[in-house]
Amino acid sequence: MSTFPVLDVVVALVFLYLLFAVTCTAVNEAIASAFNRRGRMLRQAVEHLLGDPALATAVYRHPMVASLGGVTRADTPASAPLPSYIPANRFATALTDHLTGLAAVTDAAAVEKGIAALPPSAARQLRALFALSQGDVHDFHARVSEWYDQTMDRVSGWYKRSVSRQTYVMAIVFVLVFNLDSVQLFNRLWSDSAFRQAAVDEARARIAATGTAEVPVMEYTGGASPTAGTPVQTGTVSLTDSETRLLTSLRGWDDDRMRLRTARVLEGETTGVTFRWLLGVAAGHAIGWLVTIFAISLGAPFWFDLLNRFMRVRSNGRAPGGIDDARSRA
Amino acid sequence: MRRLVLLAFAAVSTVVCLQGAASNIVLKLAWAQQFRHQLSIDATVTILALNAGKETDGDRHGGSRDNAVGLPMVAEILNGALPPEKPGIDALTPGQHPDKQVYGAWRLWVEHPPSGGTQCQTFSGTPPAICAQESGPLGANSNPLYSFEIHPVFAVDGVDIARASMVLTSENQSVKTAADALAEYSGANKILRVVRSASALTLNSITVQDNYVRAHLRVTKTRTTTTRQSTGAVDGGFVLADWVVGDTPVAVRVFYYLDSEPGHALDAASVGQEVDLIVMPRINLDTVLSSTEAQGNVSMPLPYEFIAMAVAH
Repeated sequence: MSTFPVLDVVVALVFLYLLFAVTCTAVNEAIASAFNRRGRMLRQAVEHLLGDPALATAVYRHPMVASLGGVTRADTPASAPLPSYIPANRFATALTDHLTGLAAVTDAAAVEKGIAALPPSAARQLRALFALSQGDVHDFHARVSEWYDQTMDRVSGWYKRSVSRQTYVMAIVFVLVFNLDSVQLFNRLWSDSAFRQAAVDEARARIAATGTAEVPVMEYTGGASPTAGTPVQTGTVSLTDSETRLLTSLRGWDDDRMRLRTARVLEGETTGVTFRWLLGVAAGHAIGWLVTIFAISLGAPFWFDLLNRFMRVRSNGRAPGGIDDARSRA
Repeated sequence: MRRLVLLAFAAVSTVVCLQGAASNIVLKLAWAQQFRHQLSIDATVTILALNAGKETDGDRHGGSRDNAVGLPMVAEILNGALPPEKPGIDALTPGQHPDKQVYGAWRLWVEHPPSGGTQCQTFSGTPPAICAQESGPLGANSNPLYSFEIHPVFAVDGVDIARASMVLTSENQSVKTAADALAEYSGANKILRVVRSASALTLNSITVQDNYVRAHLRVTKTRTTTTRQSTGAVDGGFVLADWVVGDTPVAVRVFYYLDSEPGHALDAASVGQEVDLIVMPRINLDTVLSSTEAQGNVSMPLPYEFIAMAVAH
């Protein structure tokens, strides 16, 4: 136990926020993955970019793009998995190849003819890019790549905002379903030393298992290829069994249900009693709920980083078993 | 009492958030393993900006982010306020074809990192928020926050510019003395902290300066060849040598590009032979990997090796 219980309360609270945020993020990602939100958003952006859904479909059915979604047949059905990411170079090649048809992909005349055959909405932008490239197919390809990249920057922004909105919605659902009231949590951590110590122990275990935020432990998705994949921070994903048990030990609605039962015994099971109880619950928890919703919206990396910093202060700058110990051995 | 707790919370939060920190580079482990014994890298580099001349540090380099590197980076053809070498400038000028096939020495060196930030190799998808402090190079900035260079550049789009990229003399204002450079690399605070997971390395270091160094080297082990990844052809190698600084020999690996003046000297060097070169340091990934293989997470004096840039006449 720390000689500073105040610090332990803070550490425990930050740790609980981290667990809430991790849980919320995991659910968010599961939903996004189940509905392939990123792939659908990318598809919408490509349609918007090309100005013609049919042309977008043709690009998506090109083997170079279709294979990114796990489908390689030319007769890719509309329900095929949509890729969540298309490299600019691949997009430009697929589009140019579609425009040239059976001719070589480097055939400038075929590109021009392919553009002319498109509907006006799609042809206009491509015709401008082709004119700027002065008939040089390599230059046209580079300009299409750049055009696509600029759009993808905006798509990333849309996606982040979309995820942010979903995070808020999910945070509200979480807070209300499990009654995650920050004020109530603070009070319990302040008065229940066993619960506080359990939370601090779990926080210490997580830090020990994942390094420090100052030097974060990362992993890569994308398999064994040296040049594939996305980094993820291990300290900000998934809960351990003991962390899940800690969360389930939160009292949630227990105290409020007890108050409702008591009121019904004393005043009878009337609608008025239930209504007054609901009003009391809303008034009593509103601030705590809002604080928790805001805390969850800050995201797991934020709380993980803050937890590391507090743990460093708590352990006087030395993480047990961490790299500071390794440093002394080196 | 609770007010006191809240005040303490706010105070401690402020203090811990204001603490300065070294920067992190996150590498995919498989990538580091691929390049630990190699001189060079081939990359499709989108040149977003090429500085127009003598800027703050006199460098000539193009800022980019590349799909084979996955980090903010520059392709650097000259450093140190020397007159521009036209072949190199011409080759890297974005013009209508900003995507350049750049072949050169990979160089990881914490000279321009985001202070306290983290840059992660990202080959696809969206990196986590912790990797977000990159500050480009996503605009017209040829000298962004980065820790990865292709430097020197040997060829761009198949055009050999090694000679344009490796012109250096001892008079160059950027060339440090061995004593100054050793003091910089070996300072008590020049500690590299490494965290290794199943698929990633996180390197943590404060900024390190001194790009070019005049080095008196005594060869202790003759060449081991290196190969160009795209062709499999031998493109250079490395020797083991003692970097003699005063009376102090410092064991280093010295990489060289075969088709260069220092390359010719080192490729034929025998054990005990002494050469005077202008060299450039980079983080020694082999030492990083070997240390973490043996000990797990480690803190160690900054491990570095040299790239031979020129013969010191």
